[in-house]
Amino acid sequence: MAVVTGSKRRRVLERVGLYAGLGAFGAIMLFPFLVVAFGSLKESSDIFRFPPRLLPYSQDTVEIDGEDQGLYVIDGIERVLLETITVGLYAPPDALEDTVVVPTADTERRGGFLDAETVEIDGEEVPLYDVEVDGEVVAMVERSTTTQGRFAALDDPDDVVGANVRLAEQVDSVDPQPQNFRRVTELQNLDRSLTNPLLVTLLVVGGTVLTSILGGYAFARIEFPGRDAMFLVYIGSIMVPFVILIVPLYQLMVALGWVNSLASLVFPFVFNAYGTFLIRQFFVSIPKDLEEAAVIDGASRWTILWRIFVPLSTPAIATLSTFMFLYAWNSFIWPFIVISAGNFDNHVLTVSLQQLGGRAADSPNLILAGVMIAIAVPVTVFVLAQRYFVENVATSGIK
Amino acid sequence: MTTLSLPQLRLPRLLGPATWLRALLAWRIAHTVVVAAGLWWALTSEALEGPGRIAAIAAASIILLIDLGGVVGLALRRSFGRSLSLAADYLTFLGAILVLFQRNDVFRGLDALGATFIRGVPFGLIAILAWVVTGWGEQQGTLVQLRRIARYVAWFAVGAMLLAVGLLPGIATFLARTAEPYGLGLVTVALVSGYLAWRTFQSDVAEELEVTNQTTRTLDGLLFASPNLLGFTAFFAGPLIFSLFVSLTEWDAFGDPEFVGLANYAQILALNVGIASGGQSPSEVLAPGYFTWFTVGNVVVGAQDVMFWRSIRNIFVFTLFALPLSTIPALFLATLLNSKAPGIKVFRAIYFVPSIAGVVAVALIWRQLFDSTIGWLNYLISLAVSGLNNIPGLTLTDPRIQWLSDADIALFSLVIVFSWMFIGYNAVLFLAGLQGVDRTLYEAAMIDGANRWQRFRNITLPSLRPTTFFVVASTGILTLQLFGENVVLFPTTTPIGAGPQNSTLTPVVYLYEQGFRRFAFGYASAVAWVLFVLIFLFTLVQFRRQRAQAEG
Repeated sequence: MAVVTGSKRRRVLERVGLYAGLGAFGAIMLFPFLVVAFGSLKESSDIFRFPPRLLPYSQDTVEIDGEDQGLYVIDGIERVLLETITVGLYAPPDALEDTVVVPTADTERRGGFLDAETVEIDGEEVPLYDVEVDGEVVAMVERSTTTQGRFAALDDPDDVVGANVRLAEQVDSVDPQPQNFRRVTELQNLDRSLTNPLLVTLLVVGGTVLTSILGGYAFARIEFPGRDAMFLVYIGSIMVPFVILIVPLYQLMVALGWVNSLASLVFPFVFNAYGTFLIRQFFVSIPKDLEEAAVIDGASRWTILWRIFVPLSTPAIATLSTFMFLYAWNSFIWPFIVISAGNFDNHVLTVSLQQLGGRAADSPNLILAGVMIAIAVPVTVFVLAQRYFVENVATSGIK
Repeated sequence: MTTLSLPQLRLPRLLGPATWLRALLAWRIAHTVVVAAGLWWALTSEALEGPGRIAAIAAASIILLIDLGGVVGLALRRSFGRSLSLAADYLTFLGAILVLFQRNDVFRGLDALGATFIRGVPFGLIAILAWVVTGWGEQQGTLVQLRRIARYVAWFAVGAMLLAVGLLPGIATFLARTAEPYGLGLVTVALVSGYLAWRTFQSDVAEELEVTNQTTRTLDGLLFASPNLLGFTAFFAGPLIFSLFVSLTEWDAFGDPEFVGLANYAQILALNVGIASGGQSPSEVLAPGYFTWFTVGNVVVGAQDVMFWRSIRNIFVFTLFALPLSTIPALFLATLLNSKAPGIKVFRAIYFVPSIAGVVAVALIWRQLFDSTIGWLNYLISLAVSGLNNIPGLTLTDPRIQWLSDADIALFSLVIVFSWMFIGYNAVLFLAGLQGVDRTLYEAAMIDGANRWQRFRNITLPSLRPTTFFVVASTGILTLQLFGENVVLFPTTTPIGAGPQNSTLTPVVYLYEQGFRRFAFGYASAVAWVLFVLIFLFTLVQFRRQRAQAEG
């Protein structure tokens, strides 16, 4: 009995350890996304706040004389900011440490502007001011000035104190700003940057699936001399890194007049060796007797392909579609090179976001809203087609 | 085996097979003459230039060769004459259509579609929905009426979609441009060569020449594979060969490439070592034309292209850190995920998300976290530091790391971004490998009393070798091509993406700078090929290691 309970306890401990490990990693993976998700709903003063807070906050306000005024807590009392004024630090010239804080508006230059009186301190001529202290007017020098807020207590409007606005603690409450998403689309034609990649992605996915089905069928089912060598060369092209094609492909686009056009993002990418490979592998696994009946009936290859092979291959086609979707939606290097920075009409989202990130450093909340849009699309596809994503990863691993 | 045929078009068969073959020979000869004239024009004319000229010459030469073979074959009444004739006419047909489309701006018309297509999306969704209903009705076996209605709705929605995206004005423009002499000529060429290809393809012509099933199959196969093969040639093989040629030239944006042999490669790779003795400055001991790359003691290593070697050094350091950081934790994560505990799939999904979010989004996310004053990373570090300082005897100072503006840190910030992005992806790859490991091996080991680590060391790791090779190789290929992260995180440095004091200058960043900022296409191509060789060697070493381990 003791052995059994011991192993049971160990299993429970193992489970706890497992979830702790998974959870820790999950937090590392998820936390940046949470920062972005909530950051995209923040107002710009909140996103520049230190220390950072996860949730989007904005300051509570109270309406005074038809204007919204910010709410603060000073020494435990909720107060409203009435106005900000400039205050000066004044001291008599003979006792520079005896400072008083007085609004600059309440002081006057001694002798007026035309005939200002000055006093020499450390070899410098410093103007003198009339400052009222305890009902008495004293001549003082201005040591420094600063802005200060005048705060009235919420429950007693006559209780007014002065304090530094930046150091006063704001009364905040959670207040998401969904209009950030609308505002970001108004920046540099971002609405076209949303529809363009959608069109490009749809065409790339559709085109790749079409050519891959045709090519996959030829390489899987039609035997002819040189086929396998041809297939190997074609598959070998997967191993060639894309960077090697950047310069010559760009030259080809120049020759075709496709630079700056969406055509350059679509047509070079609809002939895909990986897709042909994927579909071919699936077609090879389809038993031959399924098509033999159709052959005897005199069906053409074309009919057999579309009536028998394609309906049986929906998992492979879905896998290929999700893969190509991600590839096209997230592609960055090529659009960055081939679509010029000023051509907003033909931008895709990745390029627009990169530019926005370089330009609008003063509104990270809007950039994060754009990032959310960019992520939302692949994540939605991922949630809908998770099975095929994982399948894709698994097959590429076996390859 | 029954010979399969292609889709049956019902066109009139103008002539009998024997007469047809004679007519085809005449056409073939005429075609050959025209193509030869075209090739002559492409070789001598000044109208074409650059890659367009090279592509035209290559295409015309290939078609001319096919044509000549076709003429010979048809004259000898051999079956290869028919095959080559088919190929030539098929290519002419496709070429005429593509040139017509290109001249009439059909391809560039996508830009206009980009503005309007969103209006068609609702109709497209309706069409898909209706199409799904027709399929659903089919499975039920009944509901014929519903299926018919759904089919009408689907067609109607497709029509509405095409109207909504502005297809009619597009077609009108296309027809108006086609009506010009040039367009009509191309249409005629397309129709004639298309009909010729179709007629020659018919079985009566094949029987006349006693074509074997083998040949018919070959033609079928090539026809099905032709979109891929032509696309591969136009957008991969052709550019690849062209790139090799360009790398041997000096070529700026204006003017023609000037052949310089291996000069670009020599300049990129040239290194020079000198020893500085007795107060000599490093630059004094190097051969002329060389600049200091780095010094070790009094040994000075110089390069002609210091920027390139800097990028190599950077990418080496980056790979050295990013490769283990994005694979080793992934392996342990995969062993955690490889259990049947409830909720495991949720974790798997969460780990996978960074890799599908896209490099631009990921880099922008991290730029926010990296902010040195208001970013979360420094905030969490300072929290940890003040927390640790509560321990008596410990006084740590808050480092306040300048993640993106400190030249010593910037590259490691990129390591963090890259590893974060790919750990989950690699974990799922490893998981697929783990699930393929034979479970009986573990059971046998447990009977032998092997502990958890021994099982992992002696069963899991060896069984995972192919997966490990794939993960390390594919991740390494990605690290060596690092570019997007740099450009997003350092958009304002010169070169773009090079980071503070060129500390994140990578080979692809350098390639972009040379090719698309300085327009030194020849030099940039040479950089690309050097990088390609580097990536190839990396993959080869991984492959060798895997093979050696598998054998040893």
